[in-house]
Formats: sequence, C-alpha cells, structure tokens
Amino acid sequence: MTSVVWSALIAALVAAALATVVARFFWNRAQRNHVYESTMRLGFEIPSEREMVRFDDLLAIVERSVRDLRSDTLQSESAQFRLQSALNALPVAVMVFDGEGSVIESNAASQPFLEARHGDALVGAAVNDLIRVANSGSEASTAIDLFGPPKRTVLVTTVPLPEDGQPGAVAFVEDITERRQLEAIRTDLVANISHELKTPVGAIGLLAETLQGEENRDIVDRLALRINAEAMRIAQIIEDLIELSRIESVDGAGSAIVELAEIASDAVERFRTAAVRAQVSVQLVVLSADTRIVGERRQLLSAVGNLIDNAIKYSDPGTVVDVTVEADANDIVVKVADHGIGIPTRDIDRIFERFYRVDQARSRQTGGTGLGLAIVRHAAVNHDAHIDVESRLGEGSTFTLRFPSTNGATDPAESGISTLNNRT
Amino acid sequence: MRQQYTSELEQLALQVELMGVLVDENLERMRAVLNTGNLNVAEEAIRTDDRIDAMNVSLMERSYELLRREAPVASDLRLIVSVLRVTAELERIGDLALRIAKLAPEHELLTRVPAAFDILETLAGHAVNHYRDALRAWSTLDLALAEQVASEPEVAMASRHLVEALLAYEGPDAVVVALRTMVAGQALDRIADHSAVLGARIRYLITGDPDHLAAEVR
Amino acid sequence: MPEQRKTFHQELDEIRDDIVRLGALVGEVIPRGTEVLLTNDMSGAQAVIEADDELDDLSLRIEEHCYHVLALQQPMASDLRSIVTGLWLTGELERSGDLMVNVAKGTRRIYGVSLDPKLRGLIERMSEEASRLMKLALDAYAERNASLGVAIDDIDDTLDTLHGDYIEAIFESHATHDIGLQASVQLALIGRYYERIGDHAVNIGQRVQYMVTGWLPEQTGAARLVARRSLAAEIGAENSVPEAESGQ
Repeated sequence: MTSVVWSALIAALVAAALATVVARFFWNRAQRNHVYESTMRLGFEIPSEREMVRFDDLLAIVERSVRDLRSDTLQSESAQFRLQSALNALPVAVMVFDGEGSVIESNAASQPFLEARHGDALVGAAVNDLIRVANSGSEASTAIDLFGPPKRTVLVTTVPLPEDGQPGAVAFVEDITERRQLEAIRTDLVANISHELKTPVGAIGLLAETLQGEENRDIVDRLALRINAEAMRIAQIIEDLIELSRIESVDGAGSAIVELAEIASDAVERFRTAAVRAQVSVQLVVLSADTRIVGERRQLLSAVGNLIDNAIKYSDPGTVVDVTVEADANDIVVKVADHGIGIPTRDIDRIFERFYRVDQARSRQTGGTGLGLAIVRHAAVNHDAHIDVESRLGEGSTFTLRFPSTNGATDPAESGISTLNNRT
Repeated sequence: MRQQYTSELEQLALQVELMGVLVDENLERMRAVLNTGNLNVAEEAIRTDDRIDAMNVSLMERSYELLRREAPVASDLRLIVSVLRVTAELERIGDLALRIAKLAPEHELLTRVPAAFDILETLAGHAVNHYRDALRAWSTLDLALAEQVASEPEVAMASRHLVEALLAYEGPDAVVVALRTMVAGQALDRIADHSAVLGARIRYLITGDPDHLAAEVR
Repeated sequence: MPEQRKTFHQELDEIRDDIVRLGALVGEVIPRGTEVLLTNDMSGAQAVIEADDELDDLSLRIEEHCYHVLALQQPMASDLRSIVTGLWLTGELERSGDLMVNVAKGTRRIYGVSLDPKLRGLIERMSEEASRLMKLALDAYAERNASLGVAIDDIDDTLDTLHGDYIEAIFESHATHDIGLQASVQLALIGRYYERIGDHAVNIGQRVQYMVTGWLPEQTGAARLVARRSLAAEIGAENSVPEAESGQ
C-alpha cells in the first residue's frame, strides 16, 4: 500500500523536475525574441542588449512593471476618488450626461433629482429638457419656483460638454432660495425704512399744517397730542435702529454670567402696563433652579422683552401669554407663547428681517417698529442661541430661544417656581 | 376563433350595461332613502353594492384576459380600455349612491332645513337623469348624446343655494345639519360629475379622437 | 427579442416617471393655489388656472403612451396592471388639478373679503393635509408600496375632521357678520375641493394596492357576496338573498 504512494510521489517529483528542464531548454532564440517583443509592446523597459537578457531577468522586469502599473492605477484611482469627493462636497448638484441624455456621472448633491419625486421630480424633468438643448450645442438655464413646503427656488443650468466629437452635457442644479431672499431683503429694506419713517413724518407735517391758525383750544390740544404721538413713534424707530445696530456691531456676548430667569422677570415687569392696557395676562413660570448662561444682560433683556411685547400686541384681549424658563440637558430654554392671531406659514421664514410685516394694516395699529424680531435674532446669534417659531393662524405663536447653559455650575440658585400675573 | 373573440367583446359591452343597470337601481334606492329615510331600502342598497363590486371585479378580470390573450386592434383596444375606465366610474357612482343611503339613520337631519332638503331632491333628480343619459349613450353609442352628457354644465349653482339655505338656519344643531346635508349634496354633485366623465369616455370610444382622450369635465 | 423586451420596460419606466411628474405638478399646485387664496392674489389665481394646461397636456400624453404600449406589446399580467393603473391615475391626478383651479376661481369670487385667522389657519391645514395625502399616494405608487396605499384611507380621516371644524368656523364667522353669505358659500365650496383632493389620494392608494397585489377593495364586497351566497346555499333558504334573484 505504502509503496504505491511512494512511487506516485516519486513520479510526480520527477515530472516536475523534467518540466523545469524542458522550460529552460526551450528558452531559445526564437522564443526569447517573441517574449522580448511582447514585453516591449506592453511598454516595459528592457535593457537594449537583447542577448544579455536572461529569462529570470525578464521575469523580474515584468513583475516590477506590473507592480508599478498597479500603484499608478491606485494613484489615479485615488486622484479620481479625490475629485469625486470634492464634487460630492459641492452643495451644487452636478450631473454629466451622454449624448442620449443618460447620466454617466453625478455627485452626491444630485441624488435627490435622480429617481426623484414630488418637487424634485419637476426639477429632474427640467434637467432632462435642458440637457436636450445642451446636447444640441447651446447653454440653457431656468429658475424653478417650488411651493414645497418648504418653498424654494432652484436654478438649473446646462452646458454642452462634447467629448471626442461625441455630444454630451453637464447640468448644475443650485438652490438659490437664500440668494433670492437676500436680494428681496435688500430691496425691501430701503422701501420699508422710507415707508416707516415717511408715514409719521408726513403725518406730523399734515397735523402741523392743520394746527396753523387753529383757534379752538380743544382742537389745538388734540392735534398737539397726535403730533406728540407721531414724534414718539419716530423716536421709537430710531431707538430700535440704534439698539439693532449696537447689537449687530457687537461680536459675541461677553463673558458675564447672567441669570435668564431674572432677565425674563425684568422683561415681564417692563411690559406690565402694556399688558394691562391690552387686557392680556402675562404669566412667567420658571421651572428650573439654575438658568445661568454666559451673556450680555442688555441684549438679552432686549430680546426677551421684544418677544413679550410682540406676544402682547398680537394677542386677543382676555388671553394669556406664557413665558417659560427652564433648563434641559444642555440648554436653557426661554419660551414665549401667545394665543393670538398667529403667523402664516409662508411668512415664518421672513419675520426676522428688518421691517418685514406680515400685515401692514395691523402693524400700524399695534405701533410696532418692525425691528423687534430682528433685534431678537441678532441677540440670539451673539449668544449662540437657537431660535424656533411654531405658529398656527388663529391659534397663536410660540417663540423658543435655546441658550447653551454654563458648564460646571458653582452656586445653585434657590429659585423654584415663581409666577407673576399681570392681569389686574 | 376570431368569431368567438368578437362575440366576447359584445358580451363584455353588454355586461357593462348590466352593471350600469344595477347602479341605476341603487340610484333609485338612494333617492328613496333621501325621501323617506327607509332603513330597509338602505340595507338593500348596501347588499346591491356588493353585487356591483363583484361585477366590477369580474369585468376587470375579463378585460385583462382579453388584453393578454388577443392582440386587440386599435378599435377593440379602445373598447376594452373603455370598459376598464367606464366600470371604474360606475363603481364610483355606486359608492356615492351608497354614501347617501348610509345617511338613512340620520335622515331627520337632512329634512331639518326645508329649503336645503328641497335642493337635495332637485340635485338627486338631476344626478339620476344625467346618469341615465350616460348609460343610454353607452348602450346606443350615440355620439350626440355622449357629447351632451360630457358637456353638461356643473351644478355649482344648486350647491351654492344649498349652502346658502344651510347658513340661514340657526338651530343648535346647525353645524351637524350642514355637514350631513353637504355630504349628501357633494355626493349628488359628484354623481353628476362622474356621469359627465362617462360621457367623455364614451365619446372617445366612438370617435377614437385623441383630443377626446383626456377630455374630462372642467 | 430581448432587445424588444428592454424597450418595453423602458416605456413602462417612462410612463412611471411621467406619472410621478404629473403627481409633482399636482403636489405643487395645492400649496400654490392655497397661497393665492390666502393672499387674495388675483394674478396668481390666473396663473394657477393657466398652469393647469400643462397638467392636462401631460396627462393626455401619458394616456396616449399607455394606449401605444398596450397596442404594440402584449404585456404580461403584472405589467398590464401597471399600465391600466397608469390610465386610472392620470384621471385622478388630472381631476385633482382641476379642483385647485376651482380654488383659484373661488379666490376671485371672494376678492376683498378678509378672512379671520382661524379660518385662514384651517384652510392652511386642510391644504397641508391634502398635499400630504397626495404625496403619500405618490410615494406609494413610486415605491409600489401596497400597504402605504391602503393606509391613506385611514390617514384621510384627519382631513375629514378638519373639514368639519372648518364648516363650524364658517358658521361662526357668518353668525358674527365677519363674512357675508356669498363669501361663506364660496368658502364652504372651497373646503369641499380640498376634501375631494383627499378622496382622489385615497383612490390612488387603492389603485396602487391593486397594481401591486392584484387586489381591489371592491373585491371585499365581491367576496362578501360570494360568502353570503354560499351561506344561503348551505341553509337552503334562497329567500335570505332576495336581491340575488330580483332586479336583473
């Protein structure tokens, strides 16, 4: 049994040795030339002295070249990868199409538009339409307004990108909502400032004209009162403008430790009279003991005050404005909630702009300056605070400010729950 | 073989008409329920609707079978697809009739405002007539009739009067009365709407004019 | 032969993409029409009415495409269902678009009427709910998700509830003379348009269920009938199902 195994093994070894011998034996001139030429054709560098090259040398050269080639490929792959990563980092969607209008390359931002649905499907359809134009040789672009929600505007641009005489094109899709909004803010701001200032100035002029030569004491008094009111209005606008530009020019919020509960309480106190006049009850609830943050007292008072002021203005008589201060895991949260008229969804993104008005008629009547929420936003930015608005028409609005709390608190404040009712 | 296929198509069209007659009967029951609030009639309508559904399903399956088995030429294709679309409309009309029949237990609410009740009955009459014209257009393939059914003006005027009458009512149950009455009014409106769509579908079946294809009612 | 098969599936894909696009047009026109209504925007109303032509054109193209595919190919059962579903869906979507045209027309009729915030809020919410349902229906279609399709019927209840609140709010506004009779009537009609869009979304959901599973909700009714018949046969009391014999 064992002898059979042994003889098989020996036979195999002999065969293998013979094969090597045979290989060496056939390493003749003709074959050498053939291998030499094939190797050259593949672009390997070989010593020009053909006779000197030995089989093993040639093998080594080929092996080395294969290694080099592989690392070249790896390098070019990594270059390709870098390029793709760069494209993926772009906020603009980039899609490359062949002459048939099929996508051959695309970056991450373009994924929503491939196999898209809803609003994005319309963008995808526009891309396809414009690619046809680009494939016939001309650039094309169109802006699409989408009603969402959220509402947005995207710009689709296509550019011909012929390669080796074959048609092809590239498409870019860019969200220009913000850009559009900024343009609108710029143009509206000038119009709004002049409107806000011109109205009371015009009124003063008219009233003064009427006053001239007026003999009736009662009428004179009444006109004077109204002139005074209009002057106060201008003064308020100027004061707010100064406050806003002050807050805007400040970078950051200083390093003082302030107690938000205390600031909220001061702010509520400040609008006590206004609340009584509007028959609105303002209730402050402090739910956490420690409400300290790093910040500037004046800005914060201005911000919370403006929120309370607005809440009162847009509330119906007999309703409640809730001001809540509480700490959660990472933040100190100030909430101002009213049960007033609410803000239309389409306006929510714009209410923090200077002089933006949801309803022109109503703002005249409430006497706001149109700067309050701009002040709130800037103060929030300076304090690294998040600002959120939830609102329903006819049900009311809730403004939430989230401040990062101070880490490593030292002396815990003793305040528990305190309420303050402004209703008489 | 071809002969059998042709008679199958004829049968298909006839069965659609039968389904249409079942729907017609249920519209009649709907009208009876609207008049009297009779619960038994309402029950019967509910049972009949199951038969309408069953016919819809079997007609659909047969249409599919024909589409798959035969390679229908243009005009046959139009017939088969029309069957699919027309039965869908018929089924919907049946559902709407049922929606009103199911109001039977609350019938009293519908009669609370006499002026509104009167308009409901008018709307019901209009809807049933409109539907019958559509059904007749299907069985006779009468182009003029189909066009008339397709272009029948919307009954928006009557619905407007219906809401007016409801708003004038000042009972404590005004809102629930208005809601129930409007459910009925809307269902009746939509029966007329669907009948008009039937007219448009039949018109396309007859003419094969692509312009008539998506010509739904405006 | 495989070449032809591939073209056929490309055509199916095209039909699907076009329906998704038609659905997107409907999804856009809902918030757009509502904004027009809430801002009293007359030129916007005109634009909504005119934009409906694009919707009509596209649905016509899809229908023609479906016919074309049916005529040239002999699709298999499941593909056949997809094509016929396409035909049904265009009808539902096209009519949903028409309903927003009605809203735009209603906007013109209530020009100059100022709506109180509660009514405006409810209109906003009905609109959001209607477009949410429409989007879900389209998701169900694009993903061939039958269970989502069926669920839309239940989700639609929210819209019905809102519609009830809305009618109540109209009554309140009318009773306090904030809005006149004509405006109240228009508003009530407008509310119904949103409700009907919800109905169309429900229909689409059911069609999707059929496309994926071959099962129609009507089949439940049909199954009930069969069950009753066999029960009647077992009992041997033909009279228990009188409608089966009469009325044909």
